[in-house]
Amino acid sequence: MVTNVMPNVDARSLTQRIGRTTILNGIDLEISGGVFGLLGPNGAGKTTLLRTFATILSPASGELRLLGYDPRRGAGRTAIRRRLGYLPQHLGYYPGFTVFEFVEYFALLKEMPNAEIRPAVARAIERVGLADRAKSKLKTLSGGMLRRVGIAQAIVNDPDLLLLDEPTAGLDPEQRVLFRALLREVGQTGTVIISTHLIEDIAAACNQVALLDAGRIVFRGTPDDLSASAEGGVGDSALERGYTRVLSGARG
Amino acid sequence: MTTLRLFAIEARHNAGMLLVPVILLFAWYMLGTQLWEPYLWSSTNELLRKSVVPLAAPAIAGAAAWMAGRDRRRSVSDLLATTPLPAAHRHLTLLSATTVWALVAYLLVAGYMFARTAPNATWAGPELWPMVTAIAALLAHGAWGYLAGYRIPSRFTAPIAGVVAFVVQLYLSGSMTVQTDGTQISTWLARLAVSDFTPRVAAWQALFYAGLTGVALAALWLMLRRDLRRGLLLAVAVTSVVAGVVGVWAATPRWDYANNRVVDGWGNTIAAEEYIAPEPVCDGGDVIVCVHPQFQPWLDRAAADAEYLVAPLQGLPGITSPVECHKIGFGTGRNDGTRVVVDGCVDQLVADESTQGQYGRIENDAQQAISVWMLTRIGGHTMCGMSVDPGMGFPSAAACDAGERFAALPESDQRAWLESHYADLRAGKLTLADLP
Amino acid sequence: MLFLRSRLVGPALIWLLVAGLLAWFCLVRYDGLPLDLAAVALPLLPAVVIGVTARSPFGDVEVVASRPLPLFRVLYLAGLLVIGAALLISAAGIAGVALRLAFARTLVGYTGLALLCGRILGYRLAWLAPLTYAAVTLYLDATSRWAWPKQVPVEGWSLFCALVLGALGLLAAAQATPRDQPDDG
Repeated sequence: MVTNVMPNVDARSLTQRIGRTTILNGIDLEISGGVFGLLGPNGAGKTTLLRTFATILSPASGELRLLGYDPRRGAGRTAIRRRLGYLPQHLGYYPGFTVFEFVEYFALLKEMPNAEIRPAVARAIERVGLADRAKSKLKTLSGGMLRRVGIAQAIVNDPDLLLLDEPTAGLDPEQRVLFRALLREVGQTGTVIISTHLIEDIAAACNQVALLDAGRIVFRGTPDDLSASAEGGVGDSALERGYTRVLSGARG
Repeated sequence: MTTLRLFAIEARHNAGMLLVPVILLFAWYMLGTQLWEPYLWSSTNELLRKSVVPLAAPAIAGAAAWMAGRDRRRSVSDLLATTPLPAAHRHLTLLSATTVWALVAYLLVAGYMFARTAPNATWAGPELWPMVTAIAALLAHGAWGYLAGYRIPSRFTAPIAGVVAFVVQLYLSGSMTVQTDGTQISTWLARLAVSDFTPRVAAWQALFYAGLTGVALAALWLMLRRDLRRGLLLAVAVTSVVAGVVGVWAATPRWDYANNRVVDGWGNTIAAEEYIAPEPVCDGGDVIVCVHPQFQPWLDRAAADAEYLVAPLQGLPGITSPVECHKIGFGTGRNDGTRVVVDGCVDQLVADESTQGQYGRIENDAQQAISVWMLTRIGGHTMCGMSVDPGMGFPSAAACDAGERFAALPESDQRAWLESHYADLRAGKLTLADLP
Repeated sequence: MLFLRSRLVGPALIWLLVAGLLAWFCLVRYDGLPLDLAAVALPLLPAVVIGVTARSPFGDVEVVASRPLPLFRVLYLAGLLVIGAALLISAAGIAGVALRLAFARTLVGYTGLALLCGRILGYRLAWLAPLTYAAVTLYLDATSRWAWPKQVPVEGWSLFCALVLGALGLLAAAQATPRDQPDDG
């Protein structure tokens, strides 16, 4: 079992480009523990930011340290990945694999100790409520179940840094409630960063939230702070109104 | 342990697994139509080399290309990039899990063929060098197919990789050159084909394929990350390929027309007879037959057939005792099993050597007519009724008619004619008019 | 027209032309090419091209269309088949090789195999059946009933096999809905 080390995401003037397009523009972010929510409109750069934290993309410029390591260095990247869990926005999968095999496959790729793999896989599948479908092939699962399989592979190694991109897409309300409880549980011992469009996920699970727009952070604080900015905003809840109010302010 | 478990998962869900039934079915068909019974090591080795591997190699190239593109087709690449296990390790495991199926199928077929042949064959044994080359070639095709599929992860890379591999092997095996006497022979390039086995070239051929595997793996490794170590590995692999090609070129025997000798690529003389014929095995009473030791199971039948062939001529002047029948052949048909063919002995019985033409052809019509009779009697092929060039030693229509008329005579009349004419017949002094 | 664009018929026509040119090139460049080998190998590419176009990119949306899509599918697939056959026949004619009917026969049979295979495995894998069949046929004896693509000149049995396969393939492709198209990755 990976021992609990105070997780840390430390980004300074982080910039990311794809081709000539600047996707992230001077991001300063420090996250220590808990559940951190990333909000923002489509194209704001949330997924790119998560992919950078997931060590898929190397920063174009700026400083980044994850769990105390520099992801630009080979040894640091390997150390980060051993303690990392990631769920992409569009989860790819192998249709012929069973649920157990898929999660086990990624447990092996995460270099978990061999003796711990099978119990960890079983536990992860149980935590996402798929224990009765462990031997089912992935191609027989619904979209929501596949999402839960994705979550299972992300948490199988009890990561210190868990990155989830739109994790509740396709989950029914009951599953979403269970998932938020899972987030809070993981957030007690590690750092969870979730990117989502669902305001209620932020309200229910996150300790901190950042609002991203056009590659810049335009708000950083607690969900209550965001709700307090609601005056003049549009939406069905205080948090939604705070969201729209901050966005319109940032865009002038 | 991690590698083994990964390997097991990858092997269980692998397109290469589909190759096993395809290769086994194909081999079963080829064995059913082309393998002699009882079995000979020469035909078994040749069949394994020329039928199974040329199909399995392109097939594994296609399967490996398919598996290599899997992660990108399935959009799993991002997820895989976040895992700490080195990508090279992952790719090598997947490639191994794919290629192993072709190796399993090949070894199953080879094992079965060897197990069927061993109890019955009376000479020689399995050729091991072609097996080494076959395994090296399967690995090379798998590696190159994987590289192609990784570079271009399209669903169409797999069939294209298979077709290209097939065409390349076809080109290599069919590589010919025209000699000064107008005949065609294989070039040294043909020695690179998986279906070829030339003993003195075999080790170089295997090195060539091993080097090709190394080049593909090193290139893949370099695509994942460039560093000096990986570049050196590529250089070593390329050197192996070049050494293999040069070795094949050099070791391939060729005929030096100017000096009337067999030489290697550097012009050094190769011993004219590296192949030493084994001691033949013989049997018979009034008629002695001698055959290659691998045909020993048929020796009794050959002796009996030869005795039947010679029976009408026994005691005639010019017939030695015992008669030595030199040219025994063996044929096979799908439903017939193995046939002993004593047709070749007819020529020596109807014509003295001095009357025979080029390559021992019978050119006298009367001799041809008696040949037709003898072959008809034993159920052999007379070539009568077929549109063949008589100048090639085949009987003319008139000779065929005369032979058939002779065959229709009572045995006593045949014997009487032979007693008075056999010596002149063999000396080439008779014409068709002298036949009854 | 939009339906044809969704099936990538434009690129398919270009590839059929390429296949025709390739056939002509092979026949002219290698004038010693065995006729049975040409009959087995050269119709393969056009058959695969036609098989691959049967894939629907739209999913369930197409199921609820009011237009008679099965008829559309048959018409455009048959149209591509006719064009492909015409190109191969032209190639044989220009090269002066007696393979016109053999090319057409083998193309119909292979296309049927491609469409049937696509129905089972997904149309992006439509190449698998005709390619495998062609590879195995190369090793079969020409007198074998299974070696119908190889029979030159064309005999009744080979024509029968090809027509049956072609008809079954077109039928399978015509009434296949997106739900019937398995994941072909």
